[in-house]
Amino acid sequence: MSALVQMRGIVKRFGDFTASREVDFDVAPGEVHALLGENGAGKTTLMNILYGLVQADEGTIEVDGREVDLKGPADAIEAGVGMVHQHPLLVDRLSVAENLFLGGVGNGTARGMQSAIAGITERFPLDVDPGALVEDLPMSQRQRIEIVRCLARGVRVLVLDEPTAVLTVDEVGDLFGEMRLLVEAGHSVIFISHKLSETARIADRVSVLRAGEMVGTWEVAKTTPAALAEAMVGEKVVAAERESECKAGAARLKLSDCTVRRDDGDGLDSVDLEVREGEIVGIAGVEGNGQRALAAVTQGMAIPDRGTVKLDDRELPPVREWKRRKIKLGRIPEDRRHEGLTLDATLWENMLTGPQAPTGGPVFSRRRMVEWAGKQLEEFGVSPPDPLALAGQLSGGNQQKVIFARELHSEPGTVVAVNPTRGLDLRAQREIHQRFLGLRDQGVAVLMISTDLDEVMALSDRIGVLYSGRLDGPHPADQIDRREVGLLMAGLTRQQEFENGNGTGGLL
Amino acid sequence: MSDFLDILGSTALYATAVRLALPILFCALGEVYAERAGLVNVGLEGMMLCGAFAGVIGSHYSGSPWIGALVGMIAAIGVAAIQAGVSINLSGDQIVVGIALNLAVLGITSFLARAIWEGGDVPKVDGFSDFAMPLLSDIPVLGPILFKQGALIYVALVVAVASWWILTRTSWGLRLRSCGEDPRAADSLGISVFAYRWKSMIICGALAGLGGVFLSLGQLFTFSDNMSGGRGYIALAVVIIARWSPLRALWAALIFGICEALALRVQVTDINVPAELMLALPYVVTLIVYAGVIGKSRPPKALGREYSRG
Repeated sequence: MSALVQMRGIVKRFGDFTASREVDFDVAPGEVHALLGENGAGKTTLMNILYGLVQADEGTIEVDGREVDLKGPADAIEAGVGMVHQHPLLVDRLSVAENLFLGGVGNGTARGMQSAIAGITERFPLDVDPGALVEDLPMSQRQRIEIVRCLARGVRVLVLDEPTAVLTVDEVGDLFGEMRLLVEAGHSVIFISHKLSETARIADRVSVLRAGEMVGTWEVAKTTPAALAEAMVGEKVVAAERESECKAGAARLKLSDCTVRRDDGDGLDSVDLEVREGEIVGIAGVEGNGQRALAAVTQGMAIPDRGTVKLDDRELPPVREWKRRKIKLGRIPEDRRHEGLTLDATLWENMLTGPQAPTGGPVFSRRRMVEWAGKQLEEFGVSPPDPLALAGQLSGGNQQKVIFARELHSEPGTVVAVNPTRGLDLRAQREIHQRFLGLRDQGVAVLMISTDLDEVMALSDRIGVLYSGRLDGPHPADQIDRREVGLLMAGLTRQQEFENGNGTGGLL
Repeated sequence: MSDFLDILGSTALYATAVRLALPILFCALGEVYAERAGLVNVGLEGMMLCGAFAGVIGSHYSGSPWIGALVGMIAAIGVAAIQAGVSINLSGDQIVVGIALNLAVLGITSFLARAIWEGGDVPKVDGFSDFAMPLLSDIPVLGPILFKQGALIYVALVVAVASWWILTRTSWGLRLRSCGEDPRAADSLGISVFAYRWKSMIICGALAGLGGVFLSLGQLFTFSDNMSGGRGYIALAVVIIARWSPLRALWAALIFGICEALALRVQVTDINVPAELMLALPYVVTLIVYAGVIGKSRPPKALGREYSRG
């Protein structure tokens, strides 16, 4: 079997950082080849090199046995390599047709464009109005448009960069079906992922990258998820598990009939919710279904249009801003780089901006605060625990730990977290999950709003699902399974599912 | 009051308005290209002033206003190239670069005018004189307004319609717009953001230069210090009011032409309005109209943002 794509000895450095260390990688014709690795392992860098977006410092690339010099995406497409990015690179405010045409099927004027587009959609059907603006379409359709655009340009190797991150469970099934069709038609697909379950489902072969090095390539049928996980992190992984019983007590956080009006379904529609001390309530859902509004009202950042949010029987947010720091509410924001930390400031300064830093009044001793911050950072496992380091220099996992240290050192009674482990590698994820379980065992009420279904399923004592601003549940974790949560995320109720009689269809 | 209504009803007012709108229109059309490609070109004012000055020089030494126009355009393209080089290649802040260029051109043109002609007393040169189009100029009302102007008005109309067609109906225009909306997406498709932004800036310079040429060779047949007088800035507002459409720019520019014409007319009548107040009218209207359309219009998404890979 001669390789369709052969990358040899690829080295790429960004300053002092080596993103790719002598990586060899090959793709056979007609296969789905998964590229697996933690965030920061160098998957996207390697593929950006193959797509000409980034130029390698050393190494060669062969396509069809011929060495190619990829100076830009145009060269890659010419060689037959196309890439669909994690966030589809379409121009939002142009129409579907214009975006298809932008792919460079030719030059010309309006009429020429129209016939070119008609030619594309005839070969690759799209059930979208070609005149629709891309910004009005859901992610799954945008992805499909980008795939079609690649195919229209005669691409034989399609790189999909974490395509499932923005899809619902059902849509993932559709995408995988399409990938199979492509492979049958003789294309090859490179599937970038950090999810083992998906890789096992779709890939023929899998290559694992770790810290910029190629650990190895296996046939999926001849390996196990545990072996792949070990290859990814370099040590045995045990998923965080809820070992202890949930001892839920009194309600801490209480939403009644909470409504936040928005036109795009990203508001809240009469949500009732209680979070009790000693439990983790996980809220699953695809992004854009009210998560942001729920986070804002429960973190004391916004007032609902209707209904109330109460923390320990007092209304949120408190009328006086300075009181917000005294209400024992820990806040893990969604975007740690913009909302969570001041990246240009040192860690001790960041620590000080949190609630109840022991400054001892308006004037504080810098030396004592640095010392205090250092102790906290060490306790929360931040590496390096250097209070004088800049927040922007830390890895994502360590940044998140700094936020945890800041929010949790004062022992809050309630913690509201949004996507707490997004973008973190497995090890950091596990540490943060352990931290959540620890909080729960200490009797803290935890509300975790997350788009990562695995995370919600693994940690939650009760699980709710947001869809289009409405909250289903929360249901006790032992009364709802992963498949049901998946259906709710896609907007189907359990009742509907039952009536349609396809309750046995295995989606996962 | 009836005097005022007389003025508003007079054909002469609108003929003047069209004439005053043209330089603004040229600049605005150029700016539409630049902004659609993602560049805020505040240097418009400087390019216009440079075009006006170089146009006079060209016409003075060659005796032909057409050669003057060519020289004016080339000089303005030179200014545009500096703007493009600093903001595209060196990723300088587009607005800061533009303002710096405006100030520099103002100083340099005033200095050169004095260096060439004693006391900066620029002589009259050959310009584009008005001529009446046969037949068309006999149409009542429209005839004197549109068809008794200099040749450049036809150029302006053609450029406006052609620009609309190019930007919305050709693949070249589509790619240019994609660079202003989402340069990363454009780059990933093999479209050279760098090249399209450069081209858009060169076009912008040429058109702004032509606007300046019209100012000097189409109206006054000479050059005076700072003769662009903020029209480049007004053109920036026109682009926003026109919502980045070359066709709507025709109307938006005309609004300002009318304001300016009104200010001039009222001064020469015995209407008791301070002339200074009337002269401020175009600028006040800019603010009002700007406040009215702001929020309703959506600029190109990557407007004003530099782009580099990685």
